[in-house]
Amino acid sequence: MLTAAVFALQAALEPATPIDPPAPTSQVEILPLRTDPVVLDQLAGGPAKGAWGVSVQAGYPWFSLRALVGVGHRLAPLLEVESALGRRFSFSAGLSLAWVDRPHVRLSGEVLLGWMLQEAELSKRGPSGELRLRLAFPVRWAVPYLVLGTRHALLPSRTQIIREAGTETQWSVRHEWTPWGSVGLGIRISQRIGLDVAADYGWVDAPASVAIPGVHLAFHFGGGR
Amino acid sequence: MKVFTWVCDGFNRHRSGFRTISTALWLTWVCGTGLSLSLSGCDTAKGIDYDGRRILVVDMHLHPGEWDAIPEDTRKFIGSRFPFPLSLNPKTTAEGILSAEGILSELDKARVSQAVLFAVYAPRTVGIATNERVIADTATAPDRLFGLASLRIDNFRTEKDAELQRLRTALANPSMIGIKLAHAHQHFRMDDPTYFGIYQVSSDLKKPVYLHTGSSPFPGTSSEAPYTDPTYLEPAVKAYPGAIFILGHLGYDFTDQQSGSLEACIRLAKTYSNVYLEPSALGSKGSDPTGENLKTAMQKIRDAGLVDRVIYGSDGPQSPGFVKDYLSRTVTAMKASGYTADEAQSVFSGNFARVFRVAPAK
Repeated sequence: MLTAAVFALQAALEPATPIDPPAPTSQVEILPLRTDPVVLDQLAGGPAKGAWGVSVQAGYPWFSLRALVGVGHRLAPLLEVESALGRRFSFSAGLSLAWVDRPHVRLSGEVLLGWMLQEAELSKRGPSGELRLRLAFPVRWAVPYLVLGTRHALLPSRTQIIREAGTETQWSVRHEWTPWGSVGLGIRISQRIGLDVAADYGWVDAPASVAIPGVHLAFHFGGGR
Repeated sequence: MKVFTWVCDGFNRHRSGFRTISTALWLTWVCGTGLSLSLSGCDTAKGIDYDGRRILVVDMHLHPGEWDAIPEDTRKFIGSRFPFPLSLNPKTTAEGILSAEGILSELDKARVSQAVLFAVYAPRTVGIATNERVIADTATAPDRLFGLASLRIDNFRTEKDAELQRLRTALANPSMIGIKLAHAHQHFRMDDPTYFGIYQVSSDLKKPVYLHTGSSPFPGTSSEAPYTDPTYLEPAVKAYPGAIFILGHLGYDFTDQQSGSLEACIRLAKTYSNVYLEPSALGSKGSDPTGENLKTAMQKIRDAGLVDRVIYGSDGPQSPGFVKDYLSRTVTAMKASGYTADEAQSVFSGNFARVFRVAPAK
């Protein structure tokens, strides 16, 4: 009896003749999350999880290679190799973390540790470290940006005095400070390719020295976005 | 630096539009290039503007040379004075400005009309720039470049006559207008009569002798008083009234960046009419960051009534732009010390022309 009633209700609800399914009045479309262009991630730091990028920079006097990969929470390990005119090199590894990530503003911080090596008349070598702030204002395909950094290197020096009685070795350590500033403009060519041009001022061995400002052009590419 | 400021300013004001920023960058480049061309090509008037008056400048203290003739420690010292990144390749930078062409370029940038190049024989400290090298350099611009000859003194006790004859031979060249000595660099005492024959040559030929006074920042120099304090020169000054003694650097203590033997220099100049003063190097950014020491020295000289005894020199070229920068710092110090335009003219060119009997460049 109950079964018969259910079948009757089902028959009543069913249309008399079969028709095409109606067009949906609302639809939930699942799209991949919007990712940031590589030029923004490379210049402003803190890429999203899985996004990676590589920057190749050439200019006067600074050349560099920089790689970042996002691991989540806008945190990204990074590697950097930098050279000034092929005579001064630094090799660094570090972390980048974006603190502010809005549609038109990104602020990140970076900490790097590594080794500095200068092979010139004045040779220098020793452990180095840097703290860096990156600030960018992405607007459509343009990414104006600012980088401020403070670099430090410890330069050990060994003096050996060879006497008849034996060799005396003395160690001393000197601190080299390099405040850094860059201001430039990134250009998004596609999500995975970008360029930037900037003016750099690295005051190497401040405040005792004098430094000449530099400029660079960089190519950025990446994936995972 | 001006271009750098322009770019920053452009970004701050126009960060919302690439077109505007591009235009700003392009305009910056065009203006910068135009400015450079106008400075280097169009306006070649020599001299400085001092209280509205154009004054010719002679820089009586410049060093030509070859990088490889400088001892290693001194090369390092010189390299450390170059701006980064020029300091990464100091040989290229140095040879670019130590050649006659490089020096003339630095003089043009500073609008200096004439200069004096120093021969140096100090193989253990600052190196060697031979008399022959200086004579060859002066020949590239005979109306603008002159030379001071020097001699080796490290074998002076056995080679005295030969060295003095070489000095006389060098001074026979009309471009060589005086003698250069540096007791601290060459390691001989100012009061050692063994070397007084050099002053006899100066007196005989009427060629003034320039002497480094005060301590020296270079590695390996003698820093004791008999090598640096011009008080020890007094017996020679007294014994050779026909020789003109120019006390370089005003006895400045480059080690501690203090006035050093300035008072002794002033006293000697006031006491002896054959003593002159030259304020090079002590007022540089590295040796007198605030400019206060140079100002004090110039003030004391003026107060002592010795303006007609001062001959300007920079001790360049040192690094690109140094000659111009040092001139600017000296003008600032002199204006702050109340030097009139007439007095400035004496310091920058008049006294030089009188003492060395050199006509101003056309």
